[in-house]
Amino acid sequence: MSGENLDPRIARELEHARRLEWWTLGWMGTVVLAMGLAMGSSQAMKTAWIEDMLSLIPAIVFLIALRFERKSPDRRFPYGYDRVNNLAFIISAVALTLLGAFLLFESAMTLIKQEHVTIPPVTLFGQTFWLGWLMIAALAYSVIPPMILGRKKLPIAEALDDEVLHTDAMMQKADWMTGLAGIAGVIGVGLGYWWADAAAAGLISFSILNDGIRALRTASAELVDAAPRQLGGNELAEDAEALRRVLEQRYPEAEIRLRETGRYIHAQVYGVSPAGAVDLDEIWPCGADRAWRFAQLSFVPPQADRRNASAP
Amino acid sequence: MTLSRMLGALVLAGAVGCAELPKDAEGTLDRVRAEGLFRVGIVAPGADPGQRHQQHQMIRGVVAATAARAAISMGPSERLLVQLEQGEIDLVLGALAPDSPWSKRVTLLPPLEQPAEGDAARAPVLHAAARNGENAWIKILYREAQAVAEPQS
Repeated sequence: MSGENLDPRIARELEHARRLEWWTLGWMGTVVLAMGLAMGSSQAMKTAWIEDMLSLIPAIVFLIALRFERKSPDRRFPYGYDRVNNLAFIISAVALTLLGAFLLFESAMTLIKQEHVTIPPVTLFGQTFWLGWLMIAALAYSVIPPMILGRKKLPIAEALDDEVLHTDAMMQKADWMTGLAGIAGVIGVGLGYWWADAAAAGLISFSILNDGIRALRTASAELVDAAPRQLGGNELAEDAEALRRVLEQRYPEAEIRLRETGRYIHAQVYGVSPAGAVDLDEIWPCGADRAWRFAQLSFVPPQADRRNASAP
Repeated sequence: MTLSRMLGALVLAGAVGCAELPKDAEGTLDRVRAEGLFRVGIVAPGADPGQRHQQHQMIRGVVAATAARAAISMGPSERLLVQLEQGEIDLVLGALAPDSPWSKRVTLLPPLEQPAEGDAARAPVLHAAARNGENAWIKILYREAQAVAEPQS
């Protein structure tokens, strides 16, 4: 895939990411099916099943955002569609946070109500056996795809500076951790510890909630044109900070403002008029292979900005 | 130790002790075997002669499987099910609708008689019920309930 609005330097990685997300949808679809069939009346399995369905959201919004990102600007969307990536990021962050909160709530309620989980026997193909074994098999299967896919997505998310893909990788981590917690829970219930299920789910819900809230903070910051943040964190991005320093040296009398539009950095030089030609690749301080990230440099002369004319 | 390692260790520890799964949360089966007695509540009135036969078959099956004798009491379903939920009795036999609110508060085993078809499918059917979470005990009751239901199907 090489859309006309995509930088050719990232087109290959994006294509790789797109293929991985389709794999995610297909593979996780089979997990949802297997878990649905083995679910029985176990609350933990139901939670893991809902979690698996929620985990498809980042992959779906990534694919939708990518379709838009390829489109060229038009009269109705003159700035193009780069920001669809921000929108996708906030949707993914909300999904991850909701997942953590849901998991925490469910497990807390089970513990408070002291619900004793029944995992009955089941008869399949004429054989009667404990449903717990089937659940463990389904959960073990549910651990494998997200473990592989999540690990593959992380380096691509870093190469593309893609928060949606990064959140998706976090979601897959949440997935396989919930799967392991589910296995621990089913075995715990099998051993007679009714609280094992909920305690295991509650334990990992903190980690998921933490990832979700961190992503939500970064996504909200991007939405209000904050300075670019590090991938998966709320600290200022190192490459953007290096760019800001270069621009400050170049235009010492100006105020430098950076923001992130999707994966791209836009820089505005406030308080000076453009002087001569500029070469973005030459200004970019972090290597040619990532120069695509610096997408736009604009100048705002003092008289052209009514709101900030009196700003320090 | 990271969270994932802790979870992995927990799974491994569980797998090691897995030979005898499942066990009961409140130890019903161990108690029944130790005391040689299990407490049955039969919902009364209501059982027709056919249902009475199935109830007796069910109790006989459990007696044979656990080498324990049955202490039988009779009463209205509401009272018996509350007692079951609180662990005061171990097994309730009576006609219960599969979509009754009780189906979440206690565990219904497979029906002891053939459920009706069509509109009558939601009608109460003779069931054995056990306390939630007593998974080893439920495993034995499940097998016996299947054995009672099988000759009819």
